[in-house]
Order: sequence, then C-alpha cells, then structure tokens
Amino acid sequence: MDAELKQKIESCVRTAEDFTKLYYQSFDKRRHQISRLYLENGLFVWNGNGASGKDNIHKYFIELPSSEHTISTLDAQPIVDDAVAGQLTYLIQSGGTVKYTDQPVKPFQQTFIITAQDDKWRIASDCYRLQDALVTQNK
Amino acid sequence: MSSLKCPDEVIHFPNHMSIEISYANALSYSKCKSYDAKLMSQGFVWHQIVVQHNSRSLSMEDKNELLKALYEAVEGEEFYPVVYRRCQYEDRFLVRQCQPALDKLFEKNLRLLMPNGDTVQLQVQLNVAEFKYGQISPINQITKTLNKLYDHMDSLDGEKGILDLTRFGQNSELFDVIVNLGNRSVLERIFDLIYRNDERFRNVTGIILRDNGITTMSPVKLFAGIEFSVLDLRDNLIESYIRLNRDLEKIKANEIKLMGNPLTQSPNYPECLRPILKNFKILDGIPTENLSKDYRPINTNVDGQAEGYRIDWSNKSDVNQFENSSDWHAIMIPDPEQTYTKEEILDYFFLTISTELSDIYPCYYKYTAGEHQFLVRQCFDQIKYLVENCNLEIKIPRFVAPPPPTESTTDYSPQLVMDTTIVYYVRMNISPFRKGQIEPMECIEKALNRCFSAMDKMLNLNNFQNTEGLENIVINLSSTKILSRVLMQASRKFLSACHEIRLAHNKIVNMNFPKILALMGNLKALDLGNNWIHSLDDVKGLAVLGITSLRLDGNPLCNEYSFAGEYIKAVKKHFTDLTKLDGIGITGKDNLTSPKNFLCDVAGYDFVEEFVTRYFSTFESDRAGLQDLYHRKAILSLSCNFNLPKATPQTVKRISQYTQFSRNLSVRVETDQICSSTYVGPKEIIRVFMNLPLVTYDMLSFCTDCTVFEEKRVVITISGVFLDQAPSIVETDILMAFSRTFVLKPTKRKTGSLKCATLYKIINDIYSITNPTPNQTKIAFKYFKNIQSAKKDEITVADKEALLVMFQEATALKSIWCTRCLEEANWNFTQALEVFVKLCEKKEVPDAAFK
Repeated sequence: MDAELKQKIESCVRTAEDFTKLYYQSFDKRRHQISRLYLENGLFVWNGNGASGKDNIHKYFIELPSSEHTISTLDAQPIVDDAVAGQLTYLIQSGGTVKYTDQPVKPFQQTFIITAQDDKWRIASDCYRLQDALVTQNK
Repeated sequence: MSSLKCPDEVIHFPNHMSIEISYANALSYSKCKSYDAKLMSQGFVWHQIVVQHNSRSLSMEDKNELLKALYEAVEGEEFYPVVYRRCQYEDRFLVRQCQPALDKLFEKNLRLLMPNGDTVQLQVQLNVAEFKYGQISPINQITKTLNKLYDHMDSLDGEKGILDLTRFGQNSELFDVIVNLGNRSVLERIFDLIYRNDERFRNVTGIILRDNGITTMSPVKLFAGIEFSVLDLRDNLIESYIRLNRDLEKIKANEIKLMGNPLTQSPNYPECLRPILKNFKILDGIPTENLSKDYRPINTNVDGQAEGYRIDWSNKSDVNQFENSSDWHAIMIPDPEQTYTKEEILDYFFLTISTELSDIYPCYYKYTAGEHQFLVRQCFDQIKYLVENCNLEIKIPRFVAPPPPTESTTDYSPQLVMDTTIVYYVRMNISPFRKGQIEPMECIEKALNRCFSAMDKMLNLNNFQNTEGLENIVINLSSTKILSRVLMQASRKFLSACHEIRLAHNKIVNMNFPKILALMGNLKALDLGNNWIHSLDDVKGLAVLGITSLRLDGNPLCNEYSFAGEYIKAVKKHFTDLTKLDGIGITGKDNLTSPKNFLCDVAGYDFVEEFVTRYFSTFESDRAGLQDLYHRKAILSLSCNFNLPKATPQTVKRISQYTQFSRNLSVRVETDQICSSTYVGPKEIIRVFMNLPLVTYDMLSFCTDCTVFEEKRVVITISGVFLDQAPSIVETDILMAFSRTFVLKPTKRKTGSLKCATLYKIINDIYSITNPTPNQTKIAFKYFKNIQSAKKDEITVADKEALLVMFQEATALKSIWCTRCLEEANWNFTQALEVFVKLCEKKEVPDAAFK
C-alpha cells in the first residue's frame, strides 16, 4: 500500500468518525437542520422511499417520528476515482440500533457517499435501512 | 236397410258425398276401458268422438289445446278427426279406421288431461254412420294436397324443386280434416305419400315443413341417403336434440333451418347438434364449420356481391350512396408482406378514426391475399370521415435506431417517426347483414355475463378482448365512448352487487366518467393496471366514487414519479379514501412504509438485477471467479459485529474467521490497523474471500437500493441474510444479517458486439455483518426464487422494441423476420442471433427477408 493511499484512508476514517457524530446528532436532536448536510441535489433513501433535493429531504425528515440512534459499527473507504480527479469522495457504512417514537428498538444499517464541497462535507447519497420494517399501526 | 231409416243428422260436404249420422245402432262409451271389439274393427263405419268440455263456447286456442291433449293421448297413432264441430258444452268429430288410437283413449279411461291440470271427459260413439265410397277420406285429401303442392313446387334461392309444406294442415283440401304433423304417424304417412310418388319426388330437392307443430322428425328416416338442398324445419316444436341427432343421422342437406324450435333455446345449442352438423353445410344461414365461432359473412358470399362496391382515392364521392346501408362494409388494408400484426393494424386504425363519430367495432378480422381485412356496419359517418378527411390513409408510427451514441449524448432509446402511410380502400355493401351475425351490444352483454362473478362480487374485465365470444369482434376500450358504453351496461346490470372491477390490460387511456359507475353503489376496488393512462388527470374524476383500492401500476403515468412516496402522495391527493394502492397497503403515514427495493433511475433495473443475482450466486459457488469484477485499485473492508448468545468453542472459532479480517471504526482504531484491514486490489480481495467460510444467500430476503446510477458511477446497497454453512455435520448453520455496498465504475465504453455496452468494475466493496432480527430469522429461506422463470416474465414491451431495433441493425432483416427469430429465442438476443445464423445456413432466409 503506497503512502498516498494510506494517507487517504487515514483521513477518510477520521472524517467518517466526525461526520457520523454530527449526522446522528442532527437526526435525533436538530432534525430541522439536517438537510444542510446534503448536497443541493442530494438523495436520501429511507427504507426504499426516496427524497431528492434539499427541500424534499427536509420535508421527509420533518415527517419522520422522533428518533434515538446508537451507533455500534462504522466503516469507511475513500472512493478512488480517476475520472473525477481531485474530488474527494468517501463511502461510509454505519450500523446500530434506533428507537423511534411508538416503536420497539430496531437494528439499522446506513450507507453514505459524502463529498467535499467548499471545504465542507456534504452528502451526495444516503441509504438508510431498518433490518425490520416498522410496525404499522392502523387506527 | 239402414238407408230406409231417417238419419239423426246429415253432414254435407261441397265435394263429397254427405255423411248420415244415426245413433240407432251406435254404442256409446264413456269413463270406461273396454269396448265391443267387433264393432270397432269394422272398416266401413264412422265413429264419433264427443269432447265434453262443458264450456259454453270454446275459443280457438282452447280448441287447439284440446286437440293437443287428444294427440298426446293417442301417442303417435294415426288419427285424423273429420268435421270437427264446436257446440255448446261439447265438441264432436268423426273418425274411421283408427283402432290403435282409440285403444289409447280407452286405456286412459276416456279422459283427457289438459295442460292446466283439468280433465275433459270423452264419449266415444262407435258406428254412428256407414262409410260409403265418395265420402271424405283423410288420406285422399292429403294426397290431393300433396299433388297440388307438387304442382306449385316452387323455386327457392334459385334452386328448383322445393316442396313447401308450410302450415300443411291449413291447405283448403284439408278444411274438414285435421292433419296434425306433430303426430308421428301422420307425419310418417305424409312422408310415405311424398316418397311413393316416384315420378314427382324425383324432382324434389328440398322440403319446407315450417310451422307444423312437429315434435319429432323420426319419420324423416325414410329419406335416408337423399341429399336435399334445404330442409326447413323452422317454427316447429322440436325440443329434444338427442332425438333430432338420432333422426337426422342419415339425412343430408346443404342447409337445415331450425330457428324457432324450442331446441334452439337450449344453452348448448348448436353445440348439442355436433353429431349431425357434418351432414349440413349451413344451419340457419350460418356455415356449420363456423358454428362454434361466428358466421363470417365475408367467406360465404353466394349472392355474387362478394366484391362489394370498391371505394378508393379515385371515387371518393361515391361513398355518399351508402349513407343508409345497413350491410357490412369491408375495410381492406394492403400489407403484402404482413409487416404489421393484427393488433398493430387495429391500433393504427383506431388512431385514425374520429373520436367524436359513431363507435366502430371491427368484426371478422382476417389476413388473406396480402391484405388485412375486417367488416364494419352502421358507422357511415366514420367511413365518410375516413374517406373524406383521412384520404383513406393510415399513418404508421415507427421506431428507428438512434444516431450512434457520442460522448455528449446519453439517450440510446429508439426514436418515433410517423413517416410511413398505408393507402387502403373499402368495399361497401360486401354482404347483407343476417341474423346470427355479430351484433356488438349483444356480444358485450354476453361477455359481461361471463366476466361477472357473483360469489366474488367482482367484474373481471382484465384483457376484455380475450373474453370468450369476442373472437370475431374488436372492442376498442381505448375509445372513451366504447369504454363508457361497456361500463354503463355493466353498471345497469350488476348495480350494487359489484364491489370490484378489474380493467387491467385494456389499452384504456381515459376513465374520467364517474357518473357511469355511480350506479354501482358498493364499488370499492378498481384495477386499471397496465393500461395507457398518461396522467392522473385522466382518472382523477373517479375519486368521487370513494374507492378504497386502486391499481394504476404499469401505466405511463407512473413514470412521472421518481419515487414511490411522491406517487402515493399524488394519488392520495385525489383518492382520499384509498387504503391500498397497487396492491400495497398505504396508511395515513405513507412515508413509513418500506418498499423492498429503491432505484434512483428506472433505466438501471436490468443492470442492478443482473449484477446482484450474478454477484451473489458467484460468491456462493466460485469466489475466485469474482476476481475479474474488481478494479485494479478496488478497496474492500469488512466489519463483523456478530454476537452469539450461546457461544461454544466451535462457534467462536467460526465467527473468528470473519473477525480476523474485520474492523470497527466506531471504536478508536490505530492507523496501522486501519490500513492492514483495508484490502486493495483484486488478488488481495479474493484472498480474503477465499478465507471466509462458505455461505448461502437468501436472495428473496434482499433489499436492494440503487442510489446512484450514472454514467461515471453506480452505487448499489444490498441488505439481507445468509447462512454460514456448518463445516461439519455435528454443527449447525448460523444465520447472519449483512449489508453491503458496491461502488462500480465504467472501465470500457462502447464495448460488445454492438459497441453500445459499457463494462463496469467494482471499485469499492464495504461489507458489514450483524445479528439478524427474530423476524428475519423467522422468514429466512422460507421461499425459493426461480430465477429462470422470473427472468422470462420480465421482458417488457420497451425491452422488446429495443431488442428489435438492435436485431434489425445487426442482421438487416425486415422487422417481421426479426420478430420471428427473437420470438423463437424467447427474446434472448444471443440465442436469436444463433437462430438467424442457423436459418441462413439452411438457406431458409429468402432475399426478400432483408431490407
């Protein structure tokens, strides 16, 4: 493994740690601000339901029940892409449990692709899956 | 001696010697079963039968009822009542030489059972008059009648020699004699008399026996072996097809007519006559070979008008002559090489006609002599429109190959052009309309009955055109008028009994007519799947019906929405009562449902499906074979966070096979360790894979999310469960959950035989393993997926179109030949090419097949 790649991997991992911390804090405590973490044309896929663009993502988050995430696994890799030279892009995979209002605790997995834009990390795509579907309540 | 006596009554006849009735030597019987056999057997006496109906005056109908009962009582014995006289309280008539018939009456205790349940007493008076030569004789009168009819023997439909026995008993010769052909023996006698007149019978080619109350045709056996031109049995009382099949077994005729017999009302008519249909070419104007289908008038034109009146571009104004015609007109569309299918031709035709004018129901479609042809009726305004406004031309839409792809364009889809037109013509008045031929509303009515299930309260009109009975008519439901007509008829018919209507696969474009369905007060579910609905605006009117389940899947309108959530929201905006959309429950919080798969771009469907299936099955069986899939700079990392509640040394060892390669960045990890658990390059990655235990994936548990599908990058995340296979039989398999994301990038563009393909390689593979939830454990490996059959169903029309264009490019064949090869290969492109090569080798592809 060459030094350049090593350095990339190292910085990728540190970014992933910081980024996911910020992300889940926003998800659980500052939902209304979370869309700031996405690119203008970013994509959020929650259990197979997609929302694209900051505005739609914002709306989607607001409608989700309140949540409490606990992260137990994290992994990250740089996406080495010659085609987009200079553009730093990372692949992050996180997992853990989540408690939504009126729902039992459920394990979930999440994959992000984040990219550096104007010195800030922004989510290009975000794929969230609960291992079990939510219990739907019919009123 | 007796002539000296004064008769009690004298009956006079215009052309016969009178009958003198004297009761002096007569013996009267009533309500008894025995009689003086000697008197009865005397041939030269008249007997009188008195019918004691006890009514002041009998109507004609009552008389017929009485006679019917009487003939029923004598059960097929010859019986000719003479001079039937109607009097107060009783009717009387004379008979002769009819002992068997009288025996039957005595057997019944001289009582007649009337259809209404009453009984009527009979009095039989034997020997009321002497028979003398010159007196009336029924047989003579019948012979006379027959001779007269032989003289009249008329021609029918240009055929000479038709003996017309219509309402035989009402011939003037039979004024004083009742001759009922409904009586088997009477009919037998008549046939015998016809047959025995050798000289005249030779000229008989057909017999008309219309309206004679005939119940059985068994006497017709006498004519076995004779070939009639026509045997007309209309308006009789033939009821039993079993007997008719037996009786007509050896009778042949060009045409048999049975209309107006009770038999024709039977539900399996004319199928029930199958055993004898081969004896007749035509039944009631319908060629028997077409009976199970419908009569095709275009095939059987004997009247010399088969050509009709041709109207094409040269004599357009002549169309006005036919404004009031109710005959069939043929639309003739030349297509010498059958480039287009029936469905295509009809689709293009429906696009051409006016949506404002009368309904058009193409009937009896066929392709012969290089022409598509079908018949239409009662749509003069449309024909006039086609002739005058459309210039008798049909525009054909055509897909053409796109220009070769360049770096800048990404659109490879075929383009639509309308540069082809077919010039066609019509043949007016090609055939007159006959009863029994197709009548659209009647066909629709019958088809609706077939489609309604009272038990399920459901009207299943899926693919309505394929309903039994609509083989020879095209019901074009893409016409809003025709669709509303059909639904109107259905609503009137089934009213609130219908809770669900299925209308999938009907090319419906618009259904904004809720009023028509309002009659179905209990309508709850509507299936409009796989139609041609382009916008929610074309169905939103139905919202007022308050339906709770709606299917719109497979309509072009679905393509307007990128995500399920958007789509559900848009539909629910109109259909507020909906709880189910496209078969999936949608609750108030529609954003909490979990579709199994997410695809950011529909175009990626096949790619993702193919990749996932192939990758995981290779991972199960031949991991080394995956090496080529990885980019030379590819990165793999694994995080295994799997905890066994009851760990044994063996299981701990098994889990460690994963953890030895795994890491977890959620706890602080040193840089060196991070780098050593990042595997780079195909060789290294395969080394890791080869050291992981053998597994089996439950591919039906997979949730697949394709979040990026772009030219420069594809990102696919798969989550599901797999079984870590037990290394020995004393151990058990362990179920594990996983989530895995692949980043793919193109390495070679414009590759493959058509230079349209792009080769992708995996650049990132991030793999995490966790414990499955109890629910995942419960349903894991419960179902099996048949990949082969699942694949087959997945070829869409769009796929086929694209394949067709590609195939045409590759082979330069005409589209009909391309379709043939592709069909044969089940739309597998490579196999289709093989089919083509084989055909070429066998020299079975004519030059004309190429463009």
